[in-house]
Amino acid sequence: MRLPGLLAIISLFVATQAALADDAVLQSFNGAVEMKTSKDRDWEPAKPYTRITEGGEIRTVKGSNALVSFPNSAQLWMAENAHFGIEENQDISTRLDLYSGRVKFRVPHLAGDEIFTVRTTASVCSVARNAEFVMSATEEGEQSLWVLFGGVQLQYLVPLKDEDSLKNITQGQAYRITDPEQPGLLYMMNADTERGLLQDWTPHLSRRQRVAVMDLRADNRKEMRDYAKSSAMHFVPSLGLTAYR
Amino acid sequence: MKKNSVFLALLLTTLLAGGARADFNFDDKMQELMTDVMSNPSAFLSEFQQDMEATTPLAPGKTVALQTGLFPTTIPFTFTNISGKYMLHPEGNWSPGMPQIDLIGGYWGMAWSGLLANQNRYINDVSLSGYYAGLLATSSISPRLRVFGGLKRSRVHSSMTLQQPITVYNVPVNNFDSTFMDDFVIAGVEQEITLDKWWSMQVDYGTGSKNPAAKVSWYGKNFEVGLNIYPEGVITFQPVWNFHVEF
Repeated sequence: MRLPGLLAIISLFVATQAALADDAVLQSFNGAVEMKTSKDRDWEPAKPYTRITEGGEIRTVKGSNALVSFPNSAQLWMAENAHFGIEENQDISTRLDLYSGRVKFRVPHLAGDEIFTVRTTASVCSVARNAEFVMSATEEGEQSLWVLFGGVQLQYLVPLKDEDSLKNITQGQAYRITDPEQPGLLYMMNADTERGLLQDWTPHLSRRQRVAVMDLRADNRKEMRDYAKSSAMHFVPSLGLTAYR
Repeated sequence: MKKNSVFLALLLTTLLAGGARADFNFDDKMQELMTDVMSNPSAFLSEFQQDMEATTPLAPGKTVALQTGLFPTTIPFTFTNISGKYMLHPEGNWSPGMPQIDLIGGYWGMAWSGLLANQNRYINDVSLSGYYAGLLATSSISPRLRVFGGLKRSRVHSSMTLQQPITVYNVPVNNFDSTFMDDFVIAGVEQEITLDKWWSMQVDYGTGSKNPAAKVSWYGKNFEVGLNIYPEGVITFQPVWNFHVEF
C-alpha cells in the first residue's frame, strides 16, 4: 500500500525536475520582483522556483535582486532596477535580452555548437565556451561589459564605420559604450571594480557573506606572499648578497 | 658646512669602496669562470638558451605566439633563435576548471659559426645549437592573475675544434664536444597590469642538474624585458630582452 504512494511521489518529483530542467527558473529573490512567465502572460509578483519560458521577463526594482538559473547550468544574478527577458531557450541556443540595469552571468560550459547570447540596445554579446561577466545597459544604448573569467565577443548591432564591429573582450578587461553607433572604450578593470563584481550576488546574503569567499582567497594569497617573501630572504643570501640579509 | 659634510661622506665611501675592490682579483675570477665554462660548455650555454625561451603562458584569447631572443643571444653572440607557443586547450574548454594548456618549444643555433671557423685561424670547426619543448598549464585565480606550471626538456649541443691548443686565463683549450640535456619543472605567476602589459615571475628547477633558476619579466604586445637569475650558474644575473608577437 505504501509502495504505490512512494512511487507516485518519486514520479511527481522526477516529472517536476524534468520540467524545471527545460526552462529558466527563478531560483530566489529578495524584495519586490516582478515577472512575466511567458510572452502572453501579464506582469505578476515573483514566486520562487517559477519557470520562465520563452518570451518571459523579470524585473527588479530599487532594493531588490534575483537569481535565475538555466538548463545549461548558466546562472544570472540581477541587481536592483534590472530588466531582462528570455527571447529563446532551446537545447543549443539561449538568447537573452537585457533591457536595462546590471546583471551578472556565469556560463560554466557550453556544448560545442551551443549558443549563449545577451542582446542590449547597442550590441549582442556571446560566450564562446565559458565565461563569467557583468553587463549593464540602458534603453538609450549605453552599455558596459566587464569580463571576469573567460572571454566574450561583443558585436555592435549598428556596424561601426571605421573599425571592426566585433570586439573580443577577455578576462580582466572591460568595454564601455556610450553611443551605440560609435566605438567604445576598452580598458582594464582595477582592483576595486574587480572586488565589487566578484562578490557573491546571491539574494539574501549579508554583506559579510558576499565577500566571504574573496576574503578567504585573499588570506590564502597573503599566506603565499609571506611564504615567498621568507623563501626569498633565504634565497638571496645564498647568492652571496649579504647586504640584503 | 653642509656641502663639506656631503663631500666628506662621498670621499669616505669612495675610499672604502676602493679598498673593497682591491681584494677582487680579476684574473682569478676569469680563470674560475673559464674553468666552469670549459668543464661543461653546453651547461653554460643552456643558461643563454633559457634566456631566449618562451615559458610564459599565451594571453587569453590568443592561439599562437612567436618569439625571438634579442639579448643576450642574437646580440651579441649571433645566437639566432625562434620560439613558439601554441594553445592546445583554452581554459575551461573541455570541462569547467580545466586549465589552459600551451605547447611551447624553440630552436637556436649560432648563425656565424661557419664564418667564424673559416675566418679564424685558431678555429677549425665550431657548432653551437639547442632546442627545447614542453607543456604549460595555466589557471586563473582572479580576472587579472594567473598561475602556471609545466614541464620542459632542454637540450644544448656544443662542439669546437681548434687548430692548436690555446690558453685562456691559464685554462688550456684544445677542443670540446658536449651535450647538456635536462628536464625542468616550471612554476610561476602572471598578472596583467594594464591593457596588453603583463608582469611575471617564475622559477624552474632542473631535475637532472638539480639547479634552480628564477625569472622576473615585464612584457607587452611585442617586447619582453626581464632578469634571469641562475644561483648555480657562471653568470648569476642575466638581463633579457625578447621580441614576440601573438595571434
